[in-house]
Amino acid sequence: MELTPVASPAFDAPQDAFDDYRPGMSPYIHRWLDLNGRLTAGDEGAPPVSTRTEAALRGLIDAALGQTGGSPSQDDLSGTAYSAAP
Amino acid sequence: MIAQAIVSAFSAFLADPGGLLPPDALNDDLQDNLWGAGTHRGDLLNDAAIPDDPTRATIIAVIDDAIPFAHEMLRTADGHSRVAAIWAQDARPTPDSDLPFGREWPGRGIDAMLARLRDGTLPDEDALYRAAGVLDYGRGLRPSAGYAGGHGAAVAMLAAGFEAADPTGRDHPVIAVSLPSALTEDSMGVSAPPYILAAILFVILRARQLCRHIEDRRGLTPHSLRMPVVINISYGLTAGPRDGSTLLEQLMDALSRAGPHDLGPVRFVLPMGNHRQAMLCGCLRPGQGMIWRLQPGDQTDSAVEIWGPVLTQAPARPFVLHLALPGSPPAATRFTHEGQVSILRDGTGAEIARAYYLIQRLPEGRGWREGITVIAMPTSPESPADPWAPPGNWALRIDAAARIGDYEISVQRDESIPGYPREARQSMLIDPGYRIWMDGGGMWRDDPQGPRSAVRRRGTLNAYGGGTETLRAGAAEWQQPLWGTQQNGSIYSGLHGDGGNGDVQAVADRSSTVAGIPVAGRDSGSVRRSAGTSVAAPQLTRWLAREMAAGFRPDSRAEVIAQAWTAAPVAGGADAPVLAYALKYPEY
Repeated sequence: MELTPVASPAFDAPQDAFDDYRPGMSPYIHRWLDLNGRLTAGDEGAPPVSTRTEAALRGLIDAALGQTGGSPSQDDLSGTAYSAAP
Repeated sequence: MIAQAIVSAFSAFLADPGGLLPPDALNDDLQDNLWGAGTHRGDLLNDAAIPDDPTRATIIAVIDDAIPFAHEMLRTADGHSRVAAIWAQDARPTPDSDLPFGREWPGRGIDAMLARLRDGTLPDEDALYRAAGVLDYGRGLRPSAGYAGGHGAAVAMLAAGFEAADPTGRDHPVIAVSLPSALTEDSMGVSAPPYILAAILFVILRARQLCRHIEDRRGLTPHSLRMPVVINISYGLTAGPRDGSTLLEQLMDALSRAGPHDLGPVRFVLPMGNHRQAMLCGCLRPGQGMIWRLQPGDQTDSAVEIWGPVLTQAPARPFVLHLALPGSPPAATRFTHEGQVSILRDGTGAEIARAYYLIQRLPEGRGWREGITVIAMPTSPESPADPWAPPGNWALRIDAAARIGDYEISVQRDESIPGYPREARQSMLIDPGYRIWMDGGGMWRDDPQGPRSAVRRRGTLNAYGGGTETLRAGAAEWQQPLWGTQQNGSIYSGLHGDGGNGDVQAVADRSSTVAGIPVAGRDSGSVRRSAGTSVAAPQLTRWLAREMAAGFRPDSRAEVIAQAWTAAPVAGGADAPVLAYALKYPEY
């Protein structure tokens, strides 16, 4: 019987993992999305989370950390530790 | 700034298409008034549940699994709920909900449910949770809200539970978040941070609204009432940089230093973790190596993180990690810049593992760290056709040309949580020089003196707890141990890098031979036994809330520790103060 030699394990050439669409994603989430075919926006497996939900989550940041506890304007956020402005 | 970072984290969450949330937990019918923000919330607490003197009250917040909000220990003497708001993140939303997922029960809504319990419309608390929508065996979720002895029940009652007849309970309104049950099931915490982040922000928002509500009901000047908030999060991971650089750590530190101006001080309490003896942490120098042992029969991923020394500037050249699988020569990573992933394939081209290279900027300009995260496939796939990683000893080695310094190795938690069968098997680090047993018998409680093993007990603190402001609770034993000291506390409790057992210790075990303390079960009046730093943390939360209600306003973690030393009875040799333990339930 002939034995076919099997190549030793090796790392592929590295690829950029985190594109602009998902800055700062953790390796664990990236791996989960990759294996489930859901890394690229617009795939059939695109997230069911609506754009309204995205707005809601951003609104939570504003509401919780803003000046009034309501939905403040950007001015309300400026100068605080949570401001997105430099 | 942190707001931008949080938005980025949420972007990652949005790309996680309901990984933890079932589709029916998403609210596609969002109302315009999101989160009830800006709305005067008159539904948070009944007037009878408002503190007599709100200026001497502290909000206690609990973020956990399946918190039993109808429990008698969360009610006033006349049956009103002390829970101002609870958000069940994976419950089905109601049609008029202002949350993007899950369901919220405000205090008055809970009161209405409790009234039905009293008049017999609901026969028992189990029926109440079913009617509330937090327990549904037909949804295909892990029904943790049905567990008789759930984690959330123990933690919530230790932190915020009072006998209904005890008037001091009203000095501590409760805000709670029940995380998705799938989050607890995944001990690796893949998608946990965004949900915990959302939970924290929800607590902050409702706390501010609760202050405004009480001002309105008591005729106080608007924005004058600034109740402090102590937030208990009895969750943790075992791998990470532990330097305060993760988003969750940064948010907790930022809120502790400077919370919203119309709310009192915010403090976070975390458990130290229970993995001191689990051989999950180690330290290597360039050229050194150790074994990463993957267990057979593991149906889940295994992961290990390697974080390099603190650098004064971002590294221009990534360090190289050598990884040798059982019976194979080593493969070396070939990263060129941050944010890359490299797949490790076997001879047939199938993926065995993957490695990610990241650069983390430390807060407050403290420098930079580079890290490699290796995630291995399961060693026992669910299907024979699925790729898998070979079990056994994987050899890790830091390249000799890497920058001089300590490379901290930590294996990610990967175990089956009780109540959540998952066929996970914990991988671990192996070093022949690691000593488990002392020569005279008994397990080493700390890293032995002398030549150090690469595998360490020190540095095993909760990977969420590396910030500068969070309080980390260590577990202690109630009865004086045989060796006469409380040094290092309970033998499993995680250790700081200097060997300390947390910032403050609380009793989580009766003795070294009788684990655990009596804690509340889900149903009112039920008791069970539980151990771990998860039950130490809420005791610290409770103590701190009482101190802050009495006027204590710490500016730093060190001040809290100093206050605990003055309040706690001295336990001989203890390296962190041990809070007095009032045995609530009779031992049996």
